[in-house]
Amino acid sequence: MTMSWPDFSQIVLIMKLTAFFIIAALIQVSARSFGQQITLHEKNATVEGVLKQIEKQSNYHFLFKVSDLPAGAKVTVNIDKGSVEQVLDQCLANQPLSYTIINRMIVIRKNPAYAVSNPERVIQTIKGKITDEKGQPLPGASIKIKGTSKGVMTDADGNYSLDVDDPKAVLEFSFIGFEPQAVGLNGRTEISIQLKELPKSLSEIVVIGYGSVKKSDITGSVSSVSAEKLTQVKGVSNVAGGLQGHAAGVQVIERSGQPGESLSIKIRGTNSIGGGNDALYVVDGLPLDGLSSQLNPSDIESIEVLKDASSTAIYGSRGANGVVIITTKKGKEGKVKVAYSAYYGVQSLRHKIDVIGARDFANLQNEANGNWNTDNPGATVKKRIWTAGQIDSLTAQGTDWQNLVYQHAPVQNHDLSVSGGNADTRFYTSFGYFNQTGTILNSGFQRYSFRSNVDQKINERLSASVNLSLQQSNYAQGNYFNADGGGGIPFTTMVMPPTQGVYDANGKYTIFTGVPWGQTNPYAVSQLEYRYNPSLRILGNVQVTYQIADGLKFKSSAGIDNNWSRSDYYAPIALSLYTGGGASQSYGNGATFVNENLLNYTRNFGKHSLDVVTGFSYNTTKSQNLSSGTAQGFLTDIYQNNNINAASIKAVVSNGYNDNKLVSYLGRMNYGYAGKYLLTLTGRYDGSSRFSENHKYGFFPSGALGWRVSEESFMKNIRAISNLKLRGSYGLSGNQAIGNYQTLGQLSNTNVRLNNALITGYYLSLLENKNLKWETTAQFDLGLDLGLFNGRIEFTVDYYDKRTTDLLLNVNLPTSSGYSTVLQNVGAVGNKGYEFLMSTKNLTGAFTWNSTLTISHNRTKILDLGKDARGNPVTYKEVGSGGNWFPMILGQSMQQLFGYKVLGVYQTDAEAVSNGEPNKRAGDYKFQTTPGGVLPNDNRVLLSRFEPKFTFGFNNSFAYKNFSLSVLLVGSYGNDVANEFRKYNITLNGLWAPTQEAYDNRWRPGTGSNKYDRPQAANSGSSIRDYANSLWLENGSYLRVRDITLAYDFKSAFLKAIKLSSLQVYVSGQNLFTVTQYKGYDPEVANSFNGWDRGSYPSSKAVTAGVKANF
Amino acid sequence: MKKIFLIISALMIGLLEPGCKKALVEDPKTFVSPDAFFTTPASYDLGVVGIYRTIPATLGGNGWLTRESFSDIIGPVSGAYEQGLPVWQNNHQPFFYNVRDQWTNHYSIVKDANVMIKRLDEATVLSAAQKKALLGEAKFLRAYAYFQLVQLYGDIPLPIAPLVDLSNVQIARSPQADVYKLIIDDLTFAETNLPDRAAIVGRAYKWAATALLAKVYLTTAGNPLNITANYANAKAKALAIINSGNFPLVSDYAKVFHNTTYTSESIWEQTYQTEVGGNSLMSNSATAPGYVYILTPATWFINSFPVGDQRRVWGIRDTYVAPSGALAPFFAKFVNLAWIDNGTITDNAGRLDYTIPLLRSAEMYLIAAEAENEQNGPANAYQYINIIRERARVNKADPTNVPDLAGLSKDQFRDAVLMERKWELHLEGSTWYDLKRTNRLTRIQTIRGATLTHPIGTYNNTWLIPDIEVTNNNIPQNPLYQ
Repeated sequence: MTMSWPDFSQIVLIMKLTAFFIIAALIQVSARSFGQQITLHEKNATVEGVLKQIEKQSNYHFLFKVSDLPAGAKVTVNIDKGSVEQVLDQCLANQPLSYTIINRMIVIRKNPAYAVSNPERVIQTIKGKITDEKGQPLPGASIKIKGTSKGVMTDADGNYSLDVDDPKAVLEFSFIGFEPQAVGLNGRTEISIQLKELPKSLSEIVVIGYGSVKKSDITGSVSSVSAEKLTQVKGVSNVAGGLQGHAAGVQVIERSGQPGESLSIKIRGTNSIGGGNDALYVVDGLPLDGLSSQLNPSDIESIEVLKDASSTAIYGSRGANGVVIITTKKGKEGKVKVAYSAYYGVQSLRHKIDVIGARDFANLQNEANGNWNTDNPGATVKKRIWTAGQIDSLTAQGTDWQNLVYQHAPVQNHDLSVSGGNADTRFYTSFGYFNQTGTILNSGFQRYSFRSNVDQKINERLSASVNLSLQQSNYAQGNYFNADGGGGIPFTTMVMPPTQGVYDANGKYTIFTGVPWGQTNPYAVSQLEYRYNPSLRILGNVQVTYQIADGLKFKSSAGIDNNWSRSDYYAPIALSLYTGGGASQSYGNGATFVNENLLNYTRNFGKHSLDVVTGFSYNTTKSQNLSSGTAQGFLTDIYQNNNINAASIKAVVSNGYNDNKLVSYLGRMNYGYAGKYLLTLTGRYDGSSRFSENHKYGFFPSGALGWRVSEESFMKNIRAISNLKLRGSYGLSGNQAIGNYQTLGQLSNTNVRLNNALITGYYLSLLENKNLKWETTAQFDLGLDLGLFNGRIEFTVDYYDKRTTDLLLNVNLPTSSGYSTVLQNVGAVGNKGYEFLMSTKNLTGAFTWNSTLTISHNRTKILDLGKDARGNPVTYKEVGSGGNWFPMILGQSMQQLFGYKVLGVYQTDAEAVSNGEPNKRAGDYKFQTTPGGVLPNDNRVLLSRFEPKFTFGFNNSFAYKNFSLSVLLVGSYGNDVANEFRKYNITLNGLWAPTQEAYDNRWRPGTGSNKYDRPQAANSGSSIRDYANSLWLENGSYLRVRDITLAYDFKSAFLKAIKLSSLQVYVSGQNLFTVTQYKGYDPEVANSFNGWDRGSYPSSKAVTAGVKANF
Repeated sequence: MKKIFLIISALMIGLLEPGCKKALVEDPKTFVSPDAFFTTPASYDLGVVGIYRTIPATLGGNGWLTRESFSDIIGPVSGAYEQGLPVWQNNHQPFFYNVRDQWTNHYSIVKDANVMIKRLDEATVLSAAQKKALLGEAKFLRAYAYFQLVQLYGDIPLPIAPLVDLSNVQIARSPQADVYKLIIDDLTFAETNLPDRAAIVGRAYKWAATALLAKVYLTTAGNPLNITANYANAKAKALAIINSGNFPLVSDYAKVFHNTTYTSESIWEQTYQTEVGGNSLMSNSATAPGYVYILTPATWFINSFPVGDQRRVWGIRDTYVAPSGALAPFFAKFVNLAWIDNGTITDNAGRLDYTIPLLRSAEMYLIAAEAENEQNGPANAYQYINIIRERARVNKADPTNVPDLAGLSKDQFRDAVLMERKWELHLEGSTWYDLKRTNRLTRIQTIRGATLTHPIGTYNNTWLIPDIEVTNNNIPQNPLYQ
């Protein structure tokens, strides 16, 4: 009788077999005593046929699965009176089968898992090929034996080979972006699998605060930016710069063209007036208050920007301005990979300001002086008048200061990384070199970066990882921050008369005399002034993870962020900046230590899934600095700033010390039901040393709901919709970004000038402030994720409404108290906005075209500025460097230009009188002389809108055969820029070079002009400098081709010849085209806030070429 | 293993909790709490020294816009000085830097003084004499600040105690009479208790209090209080200085200036660090390229000097030829001519290290002359004014140089002494105050009415109170400029 088993479920089979073998092992000893003689001659018979013959001739019975027997295999048996074993040996000799005789039962199994001697521990090699649905091999897919750490990866052709010692083993096949599969061996030695591709984005893992989730399960609003996008634009030294155009709701403003400069990034508008608006950066779990160019963007695997309260509340008191989570690259299991990439480019000034030439300038001086003499009869005649002969002797252009100061500047970058690992150890290590020369002579930025990330599995439960990075940066700063003087290069370059040469008759550098603080000409300053700031930043983080029980993990980490910096300054004797040269040197160190301890519990039961994290965090920061102060009066330039004590005027040394601490308890629960209904609850309880005794702790809770509508049964039939999720969240996050020690009464030392010396005195600098506490932002977010046509089109739309209350605001005091302001929790700011992201696969096939569009709109509104002494709402407030030009006005956005409206130019004296400006005359600017409505009896009006109506990024990638092309467009619409240079560039007083446009459109008797005023030596333009006014404003909208890259990937045949696994070469251009009406250097500009152009280092355009190779 | 980890994590959370409260207490290292500081006599002395910190800030260009630029002796100001032209044109706004600076800086002095006066009153480690001397110095400085404030703004808030918390931050305006009473009380206390000599150059001492009292009495005798009885007090205090013999006039007017420390006639001056400087008056008065002037001599003023007057010959340069060419006329009092000749310009102007006289004995002679004339007519007043005129002679031997005054009526003498003050004391911070106290602001209208946006009116007797103060202190604004 042949017994063939029905196809039971695997589990039952395994259970039965297990029980069976236990019995079998016990009674095996006696098996051979049933020996019987069998004679069999079969040629080209089936195995099944042979077995049937044996059954006929003996008392043995067979147990086997029909499917195990090789179909169509022919066997030959020739035995005379042999034992059953002999027959079976011959029959199964060339078959993948083995047998076991147990009493009268013979079990036939696939060979060799059930070998007689050790049925549990025979090693079997499993082979196969992993492909996608189209049959294309998937190299690098992983195959793991379930329940163990053992596994391999597929080779370049998708093949794998894995030794398995457990016949009951189940193999897990996985590949990023594909649905994982688990397959039991069932006696097979060859398992080939087709993996099913997931709708791409849903399977992505998104890093969130203190954990990660599948994108499909996320309830908050998070923007992810991949490594590829982050490094798409070349010549960007700063991580934040790479985000531009890629993340909705994130406004990135490159505030200056100075290489290595920090950037202004805003996540969902501006929350705070006095408490800082910088996002929190978290690098591999290590929270950092600031991140400049001291991190190599090439080391980054991904950036996640947490925007809504549900995502940021886990960072409590530091989450209100959004959180930028940076994950650096890790090694992957498999062969060691060596990757090298490099680019080289040349940058140049994007756009030159059209200032007038020497002859025009000489004529202007004549006209200005002549007009002054006319206006001041009887006064000493202004003599600086050019004769016709002198004017003729000038070249039309004269000195072109811009050509002298700006240069074509190279930028280069090299990254070399080695990564790899096995099941237990994975590593990624890299070296990066970045060198960007500035377009202003002698400015630039260099960075040497090292990174080593190691993940080690210690045992089944315990693992550890180390992330360590070192960055040595050398920052050579051009003098541009001295906005309108002090040697400020962009400013002086624009306004210095073209009639002046670089050197005077004595060979000394000429001086810009237009303002008292004008200093030596910009060429000399750019050549000679030495500002060099090297720094070393160390980021290190160690994490230990212990699996306490199934689903329960404990993770502890300790990290440091240590930044050593030095500032060198020397102004040589030949510059007028100091008498006999000026020198200083300072050192600083900031050290942050962070310890975090987390318990994480993950469990799925039935349709419920639960992920809970709870933890404790301790963060302490100390900073110290020592500065020599500026000494002056050197005999020689040889010392530079290395012998400060040789100065005739000694420096005043200063140093400082600061520290603060943050102690936090945090928790989050993610709950999902049936993969459809998602709930996230988050809370953080934070204590900060910065606040007053009774307000040190604050609690920041949030909650979020998600509904994956597309998982509902009623949606299953709508095939066009592959994903539809609704998200909503509400919660609180905080801001503690104020200085340390703000709640304590402070008696500070001060330098008092007595007896020709600085004498130390003391004064009460700060009143004790017992009520200072957190600034809190409550945010509501409603989001929709929609995927169409199996993810070919994906939309994400978010609406948010934020309200920041208890603002950390410097409340104005009557200065008769001796104090001008006191920091209090007063006022409210609202931010509302929309974010829109659409990514589409426009063309697939041989020619592919993918694009991503992000659009962000935000409206900031000042809701409350507190009450004044009369109990009336404060409607107007000056804050920080914006002063009365850019005050805060209730009901409006943050800093706006507030001043007089210039209506044109008076054409007659009578017109000035009738407009209420009796001491003005024909040719002077005409101001609006009726109250502006903001302040009583005040003619000033709100002039600007610095906040764009929307900003956008539009990224396109095209590929055809080996070629690929990417084009990134960014832009901003509906915003103004206050071009403070216009104060000088349209002034026609003969001291400063105006623009050609202002000169050509100046007011002249007879011809008139309604644009620019009448040249006059002392007073032209004075009214538009004395008061903020509408002439400073320009339209700041722009559309920019941020980057365009054409790349070529070499074919594998060529690669094999040169022993590379991949090779790409590309050429690219940055900022090649910008469409804007803005006349200054660049509409993308920020001073202390976005939209204030104050002599920033002009941005540049660049052409680069590069290579990426993997060995 | 599992247990160990649980215990560790429990311990970490548990142990840190009680420690955290302590951990969050700030322990600053770069400043001290007031209570911890004031424990020794030296600490009180350093606190009083600290009060002087703000005085240099009151002597910058924005201070001089109000106290000098907006007067009759000043010619065209550069349109390149931000908000300079509108002030000169009488188009003043309550948000202008100069009003804000003058208000805020002087109240800063008041605050520092009030803090120290309270601390000194409560001090236990000081001897009675130490305490009184330091109190006198603090009160002197408070009086100095209030004297500027009351002249500039009229009725003002009059805090006499330091702010403890924000509950009493709003203080109403006190009548000028009360302010002057406090000033006189403070100065009288200072005069009584300060030592005869300052511990170091620049600090207050008895004679500085006396001299300031002379000025205060003279001021209160005029507009708006018109307490004419105070002429006698002014004269008495001025004569006390003169008769002390401690402050003989420097023989050459030119030598009174361009010094880095006190001269024999200095009573109280602001000194600057040698070569480092900080005196901004050169930036504000030189007319060479690169300087933005707000203090140039008006043509009528240049022409007003008597023959042979060193104050004209040395003090005003109207034909100066620099390497860059001929310069517009400028006051030489605070100009380093070598810098102009060298063509070293620009920011160095702010590094001028010349002292700025705050009180000098020449003014005491003029106060004595004016007060005597007001009180008794010119007969006995000539002696005081003629000493100043004689000193001004280019050729001391030639009596036609700045001839002695004689035979004037009381009114003529009054005009003469006020003119003498302009010649002698211009750019030393009294010019506008003199016009105000003598009710002569309309001279500005007379001299340069064509340049004014608004005609001079009684509203010009006070500058506008800063907008920030008006709204945050709930006090009424002074009459607007219109």
